[in-house]
Amino acid sequence: MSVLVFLTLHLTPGDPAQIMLGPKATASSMAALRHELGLDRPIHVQYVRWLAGVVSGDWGRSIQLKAPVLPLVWGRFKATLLLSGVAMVLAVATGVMLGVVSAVRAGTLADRGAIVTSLVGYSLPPFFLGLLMQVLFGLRLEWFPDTVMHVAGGGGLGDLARHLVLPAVTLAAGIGALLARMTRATMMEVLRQDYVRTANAKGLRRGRVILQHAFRNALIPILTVVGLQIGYILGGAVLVEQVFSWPGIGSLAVNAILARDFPLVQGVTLLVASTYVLTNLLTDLVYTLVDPRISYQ
Amino acid sequence: MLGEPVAAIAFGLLAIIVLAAMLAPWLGMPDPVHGSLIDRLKPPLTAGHALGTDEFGRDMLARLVWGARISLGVGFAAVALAVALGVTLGLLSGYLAGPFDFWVQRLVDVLMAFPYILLALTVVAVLGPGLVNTMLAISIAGVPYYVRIARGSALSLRKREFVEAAEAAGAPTLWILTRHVLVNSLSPIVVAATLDVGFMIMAAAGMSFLGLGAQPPRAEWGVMLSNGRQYLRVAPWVSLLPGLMIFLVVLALNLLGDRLRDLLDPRAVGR
Repeated sequence: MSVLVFLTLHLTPGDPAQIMLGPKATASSMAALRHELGLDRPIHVQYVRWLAGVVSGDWGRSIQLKAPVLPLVWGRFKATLLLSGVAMVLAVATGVMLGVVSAVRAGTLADRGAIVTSLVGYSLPPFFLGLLMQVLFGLRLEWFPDTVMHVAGGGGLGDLARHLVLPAVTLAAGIGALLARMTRATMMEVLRQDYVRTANAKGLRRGRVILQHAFRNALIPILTVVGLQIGYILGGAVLVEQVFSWPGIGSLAVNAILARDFPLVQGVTLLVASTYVLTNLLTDLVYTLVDPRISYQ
Repeated sequence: MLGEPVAAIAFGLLAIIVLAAMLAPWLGMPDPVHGSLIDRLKPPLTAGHALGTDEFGRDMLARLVWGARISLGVGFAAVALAVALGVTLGLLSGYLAGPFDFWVQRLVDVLMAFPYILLALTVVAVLGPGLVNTMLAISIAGVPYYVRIARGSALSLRKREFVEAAEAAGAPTLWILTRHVLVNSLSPIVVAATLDVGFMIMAAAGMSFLGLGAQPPRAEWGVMLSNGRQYLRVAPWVSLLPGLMIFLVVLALNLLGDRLRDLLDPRAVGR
């Protein structure tokens, strides 16, 4: 992964120094930038130097913002993590609940409603849903603030929560819908198993059969989807942040790409991809808690 | 999950949009790029402008129809490219096995360590913003998905009797791959590609929305949606109509993809 992030600068067609400084750059300023970025050294040396820098906390300097990359990226990433985390909790809670209800009441009107809701949620582009939310709940009804993270001058936790509602719901919709579809399919398969039939035949309460016998066994595939959707939520956050002017990593990344600020692009990519890999690892570890039969020894 | 009539409606809707996009130059609509400032921000159902006008007085209906050419074109082209690259690599990887398989899979592992949008953004960072580069970016980001699907099929087929018989008869590798392995792997690939077109249309529009894909004044749904945001209070239709088009097309494609999966994979019926 680090190799690919490192190579983003080197795969660029043309001279990276010329691209970053623009067409009016002088030969001396390009030479200085090449030296600053270490581009005048052999590529393997550049990679080792870059990796050593990353490990020791030196992620380079942003060309455009003229500041160290790590504090810049980390400062913004905290807002993205907050938004993504809240959206994920919302998505899992509503998606799984909708999926379970849909499977248990398969074929009924409630099931049809859940299927249509999840299909619509899954097909709504996050940037369009965000705009709908802004128009309806922000501009027309004025229930929630439609942009940024705090009121001017900063507010308390309540203010942050009010600002979080629209972007978090927007980001959660697609993943919640996908989780509802996945949960429904898995639960329907589990509900057909012999041990569920046995539990029902023993006269156990319906709720206990669904939660303890069926749902626990449906959890592994659901968890897999949750793990994979962490990537989607981090990517989707880029779009949603743009709609709501949320001060996360999204606008930083877009501006860095437009300005061809490669050290900043590398910093954003590295941090988001590392978070994705780490959360997938955590998902794998959670498997062992959910299902004692799984062991990584 | 939803039956035949819903899939038929989805197909009809998609057919109308595709047909309108293909016939756009002959429909006699106003210029989608140049408008009259006197007519700016006219609401839908205004005389001469069924869906209103945008901030430059350009006819919204004309821009939506011309925009369909770009948005649908980019979506279909991106999927076609991702399928071509991914399926070729995947089939070769699964069928040839050995070191080639090992290195292709390591490359796929690396690409899959990046969230989809982030990978597409990284490719745009490398190639530079623009419509063609965005198409390439979302396509490249989708390649690992098809490599995995095609490799899985090739792995399960390479030891089947009919493949071994073709090998024993001395058939060339390319012939075996295309006539036996590819043909028998088509169902999951077709279903995945159908569902993916909607996703890629959404991704391409998203990149344009961020300012990295198609650029104004081009009539592209993502660009239209993004530019109209400034007028949300006074003229919400400028942003909402292109968004609605993206939603309807993606919804129709998802419904068709679901139906296709039910038909090609009977085990999935009722899910």
